[in-house]
Amino acid sequence: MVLSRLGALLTMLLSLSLSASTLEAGSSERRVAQETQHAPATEQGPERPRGTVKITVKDCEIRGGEFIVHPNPLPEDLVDCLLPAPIRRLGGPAELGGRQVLASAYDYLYRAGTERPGYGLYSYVLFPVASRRAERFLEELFKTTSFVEVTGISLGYLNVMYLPTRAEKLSALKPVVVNGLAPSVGLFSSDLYDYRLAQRLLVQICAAPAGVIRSICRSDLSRGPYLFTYASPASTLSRVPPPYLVLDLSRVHERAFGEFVSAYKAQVKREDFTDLERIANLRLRLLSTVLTAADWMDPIKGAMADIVHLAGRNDPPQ
Amino acid sequence: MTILVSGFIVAVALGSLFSWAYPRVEIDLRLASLFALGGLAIVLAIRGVWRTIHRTKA
Repeated sequence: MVLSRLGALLTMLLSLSLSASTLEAGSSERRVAQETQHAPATEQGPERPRGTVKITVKDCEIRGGEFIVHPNPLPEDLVDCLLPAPIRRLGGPAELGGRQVLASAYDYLYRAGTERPGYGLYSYVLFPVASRRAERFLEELFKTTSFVEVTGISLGYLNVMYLPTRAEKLSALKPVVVNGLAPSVGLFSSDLYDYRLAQRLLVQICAAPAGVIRSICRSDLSRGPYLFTYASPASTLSRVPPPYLVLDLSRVHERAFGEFVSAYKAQVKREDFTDLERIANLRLRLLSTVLTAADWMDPIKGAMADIVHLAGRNDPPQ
Repeated sequence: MTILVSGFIVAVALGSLFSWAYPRVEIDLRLASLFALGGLAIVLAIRGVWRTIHRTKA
């Protein structure tokens, strides 16, 4: 009897000690786990806000990110940049790097949302109004770019440049499209180009503009041409989230369009097609300035001829 | 005469440099006139600097 009671007591004591040691082990495991969670923070120093990357103010603005910084930041200042959702979801800059564009080709966009899926990049050539500038741009584009059907390159490697086209005028365009030839610039600009769709696309781009294009959107948007490049079809989006490439050629001399189109095609081949590396450079700025200066030569020559003529007339006869 | 010939040579050099840098832009009469004016300005500027240096040495 006594022995059985002693046995029961021992069993109770044993189970109590076991549960106590289990509890202790559990707490030590929790402690280890907590330490492990905190360890990276102590190793890396101050913690960076989640979902941000450390890049310069300029890069953050180009990619359409948001950041908090002291007043008057310089473009080279490093900030914690919160990139917009599409980039984070798709893997950030690595996603931009995964794309490879080998060539550009043009196609006609006769209605919003009719873009063919699968292209590497989608670009839109936008003229707000019919003008001589639009014709000059089309001239350069048709001279140096193939129609999309005659390129023979896989869609994924192509940057397609869509030209908004009036759906009701498609019958006039069909014979040209079948051969893959470019239409006459004058006819396309005056009759076939859809300026209404172009203006609508411009409004969509400017509905929620990123920092880098805010100044473009604040202008009257009546001169152009404008080039807009996006990673997916954008004609049906009510608001277009960054990253994108917007090229405003409003202040560029007409005769420089060829060089700008060429630079733009080189730009879309870059890993980060939005960085403006090939476009916003001194070489192209100088070209536009030289061509504008050359425009002054005719009036100067005329004025000099007038001065010489006047001087000759006022000379007293010998 | 020397200034005019030198100006013409510099203008040709400027035009060649322009064609190399911007192969898609055709050089028309207006651009050529600008290069001629630029060439003349460069030659006159070099001549001015040259004379100033010689005057200082003397």
